Amino acid sequence: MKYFRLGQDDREDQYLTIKGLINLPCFQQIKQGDISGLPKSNSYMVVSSYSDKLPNILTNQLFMVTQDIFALIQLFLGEVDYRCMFLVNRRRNIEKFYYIPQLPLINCLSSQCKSNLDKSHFTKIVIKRERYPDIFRISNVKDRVIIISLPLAESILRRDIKGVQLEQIWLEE
Amino acid sequence: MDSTILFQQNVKQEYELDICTLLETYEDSLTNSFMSCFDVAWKQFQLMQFSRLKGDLSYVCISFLRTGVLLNSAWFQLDFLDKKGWGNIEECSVEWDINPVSTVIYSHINYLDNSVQSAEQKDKVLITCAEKLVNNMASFTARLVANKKTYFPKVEFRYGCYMGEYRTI
Repeated sequence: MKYFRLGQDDREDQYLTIKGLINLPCFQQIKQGDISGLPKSNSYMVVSSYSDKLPNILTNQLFMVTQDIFALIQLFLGEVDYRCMFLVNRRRNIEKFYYIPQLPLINCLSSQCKSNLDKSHFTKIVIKRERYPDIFRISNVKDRVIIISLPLAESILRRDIKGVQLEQIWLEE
Repeated sequence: MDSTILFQQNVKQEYELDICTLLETYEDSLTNSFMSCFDVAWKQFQLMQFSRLKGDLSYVCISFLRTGVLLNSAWFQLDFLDKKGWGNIEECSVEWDINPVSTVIYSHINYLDNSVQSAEQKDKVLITCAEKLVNNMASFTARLVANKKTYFPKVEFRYGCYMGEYRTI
């Protein structure tokens, strides 16, 4: 089975930042991939973006997805714990409702990985040759690495989703 | 008229001609790569049967991969499945490289790059072209498979999107 790293499209004018996330009391916990400290429904967060559209998947600061992707995740993972967040950009008059699913956290990195010392940036991701869930997050690393399987990646692309970037990762030799 | 629509129309017009002739031009190369791919997958399946990881061959799925198009890897994958279908944990899959055809399409998209407004739009045009190629390749693949059907009369050959919609060929 092939696996891919799921990312937010940062090319050209797709850049986007959510303001005030750092003020959340459980921000450090969220950064590690644990959303349990986050209230079930969150008040809106202000977004600064160069584009007139908000993407379907956000990964840079927090892993958030729109309802159609969340339904797809539930289809592949079954019932998952989640939180909600409303993003608004008043300047561009755009708003979107997002889901923050609790992804399985798996420590599966191989020693063949290429990264910097504190594992906050990976140049080559290699995971151990095992069977994994269709979507999960790699634990114990600073970088937010979300991995999806080939069937899920194909399902996302079939749905004409905007703002998604995929990068192939490797299985241990 | 919106420049995006105009651009896509131009691409559509060009590819209506190109893709049909592309398949004819590279027919031999595609046939050879398909046959070698099929043989590799069949050998792999037999080894798995020998290790009792697979039962009798029931389906051969020839799947189009959109990830392959976007990441410049194989555009097709051959999956040999037993009665359990996709449910079997052990996989027997081989990538079908349609390299001469895909390279022509990539270079054509790069050539048209100046008219494309964003990277996202470029991806969309690329996927549209690839989907068109996939539709045109259905009958071509059916012809390739016809030869194999005589050796595998009980096997169902399927063509479509990976774990998505398939048609029997």
